[in-house]
Amino acid sequence: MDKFIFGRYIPGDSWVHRMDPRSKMLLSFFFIFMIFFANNLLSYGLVFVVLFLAIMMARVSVGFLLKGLKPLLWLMVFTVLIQVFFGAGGEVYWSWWTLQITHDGLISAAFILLRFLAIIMMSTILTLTTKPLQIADGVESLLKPLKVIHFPVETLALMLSLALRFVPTLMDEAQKIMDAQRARGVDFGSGGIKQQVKTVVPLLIPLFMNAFNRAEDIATAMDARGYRDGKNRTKYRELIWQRRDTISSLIFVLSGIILFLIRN
Amino acid sequence: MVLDGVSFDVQEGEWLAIVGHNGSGKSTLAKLIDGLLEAAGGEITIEDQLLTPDNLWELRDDIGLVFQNPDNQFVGATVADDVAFGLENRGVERNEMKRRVAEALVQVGMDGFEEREPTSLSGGQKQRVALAGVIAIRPRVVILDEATSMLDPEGRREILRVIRELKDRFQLTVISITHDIEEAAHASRVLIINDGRIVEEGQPEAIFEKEAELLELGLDIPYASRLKRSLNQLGIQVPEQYLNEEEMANWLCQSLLKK
Repeated sequence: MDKFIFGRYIPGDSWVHRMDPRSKMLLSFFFIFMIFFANNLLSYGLVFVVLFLAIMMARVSVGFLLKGLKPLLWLMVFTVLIQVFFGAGGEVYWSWWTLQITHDGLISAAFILLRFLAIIMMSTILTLTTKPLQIADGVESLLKPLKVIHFPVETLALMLSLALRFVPTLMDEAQKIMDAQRARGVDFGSGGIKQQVKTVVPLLIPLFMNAFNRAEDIATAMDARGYRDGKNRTKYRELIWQRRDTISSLIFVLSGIILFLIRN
Repeated sequence: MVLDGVSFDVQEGEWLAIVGHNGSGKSTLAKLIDGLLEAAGGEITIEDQLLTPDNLWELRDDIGLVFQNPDNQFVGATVADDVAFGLENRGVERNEMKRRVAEALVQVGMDGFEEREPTSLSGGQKQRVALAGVIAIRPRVVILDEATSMLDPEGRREILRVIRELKDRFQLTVISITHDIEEAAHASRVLIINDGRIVEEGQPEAIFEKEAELLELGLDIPYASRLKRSLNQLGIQVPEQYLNEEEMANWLCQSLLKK
């Protein structure tokens, strides 16, 4: 799992690290949106210029990012091969039964590979430079407009931040339970599928029971500390939209406009 | 019925220890005082106000509770967030909140840990953060519901030292619920509760003299008293009254010199 950098946070102090999580999330969405509009070499070139600008500003090494793509390699190869063999249109180079390699098929396969790379790399940059907590804050802030339709934004935000806070705690606990069950003779991860599924039971049941007890305790502690319904609360953490966020947004919007001008 | 016919007063600025073995109803008592549980009968009065569902939140504002499990009361994602939680709930303005969080962390000796996450802290440190969260809301009453029972001896001493310091500085009223007899020795008054009833009440010295009764109730006796009992079994004449460790040491020195 150590190689799997997709979705992890690496502490740092770059331009992108210090950006507001809201702008980072919005810009990532905007970038993915842009990718789907790119349809010729020039526009893909532009997309990758923007991507490399982001990588540079985040001070992440390209090699490190590419290594992080490894676990997704099979998915990419699979998708590209399907495009190569089932793509239609243009000059036919090779064909056998329903499989054929055509000029247009090859080009669309190449474009799909580029899309994959760009999307995964940009979202990896987002998670590498943003703490889970900041992402939770960002989601809360971005969902605020939904309050108009009585969507419980505060409740969702609290649930999200509690869930994130308890991920490592529950991981530790799962590990402890596994070790305890191993000490009592449970053999995890061996035998046939049926056997393996059975061994999960002595892990899952205590984990769930503990989670219930924990939830009860936390609810009591929150009550005792004056938490009522999430309304009329002030916030300790604050998201500040800085100049760097405005500048980054301008660059993205500008490249978006150029993309629309140069696409076919 | 967990509690039955329990009646007592707590004076302002007092440190009251409520002692009892597991299942004696002492945690229920803590939750009743804070209005987290509703009593089937009887009355609870806080500062001349009867505790009712209407004034519950108002009275709770003055009471800080520290629970037993350090992990299960850590709500915030980081130390500073957790200390701020109670203040956020009370709608404290942001600048004031920042000031109070920083202050509270200094008071419990956890300054410099603001951005740390709960998984990177020890049990004692987490309990100190919980205490900081309580101090930040400036309560008049602090209830410790077995707050030291999951800590190692060092963590326990540290927490008790911090509480004593804070109590003296802010004239807090402390109600500590415990089965740790050494913790009860810090108190100015001890209540012993057994099967939902108060069976004994008095100053720690007076309570600790009733060694046989304490042992019968499934409670421990202080170290000095245990030593005294062992000496007594060896046929050595020991004083009747309770001696703390220092007094015990003095007495031992004197009786050795006499021989």
